[in-house]
Amino acid sequence: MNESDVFRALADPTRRAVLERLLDGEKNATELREGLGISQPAVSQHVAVLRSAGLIAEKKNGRHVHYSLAPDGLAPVFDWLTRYRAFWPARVERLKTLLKEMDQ
Amino acid sequence: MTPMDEVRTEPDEVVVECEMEASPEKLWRALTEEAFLSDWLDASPSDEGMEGPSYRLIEAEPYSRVCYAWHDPDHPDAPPTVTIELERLPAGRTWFRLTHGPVASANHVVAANTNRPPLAMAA
Repeated sequence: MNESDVFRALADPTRRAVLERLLDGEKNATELREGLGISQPAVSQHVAVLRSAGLIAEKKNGRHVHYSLAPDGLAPVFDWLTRYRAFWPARVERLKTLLKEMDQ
Repeated sequence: MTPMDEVRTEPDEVVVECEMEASPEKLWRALTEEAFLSDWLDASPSDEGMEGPSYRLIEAEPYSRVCYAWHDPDHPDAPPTVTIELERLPAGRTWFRLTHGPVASANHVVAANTNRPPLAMAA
């Protein structure tokens, strides 16, 4: 898993929807598919991308596979978010100050 | 940051929105002239800075939209686009929206049909 894979995995809205569904807890493939409006093979493809990016974990239970969020999967994204959630508001504040200083 | 500012976050997007006490024309200068950018943006024009983030102006629609390619050596694979949209308000004011996210952002589609808190906040 690296930062590039994680961001690429997150870039797709369907994959984000899959992750959101797992926020409530683990789900099997059928439960995961509900409400997404895409075929099972398509779900499997998205799941494979999310797994290889380290974002979801799978657990086999008899014939069923259960998927859950991987605990540290989003860590690279958190690092970036932490930085830029502080960075941009500070920059915007500085821009406001600059606008006051500028001539019309 | 003042209480007026709204900061929203998707897993791969940071958005800051606020009202500015300046016209779109004045903001435009601050967003496109390098002397002003170096004052507020805290990043180097592309290829000059070896340390810290760098930007390159890649799109400019006068008084309404600018787009910068963004590169941060600490996060080389992070979302590469910073877009600022301006909307004219009465009395010489401007609505300002900055979005740092992926190139072809489909985030607004997702945002429109979900009432859940953003993933990154909840996970």
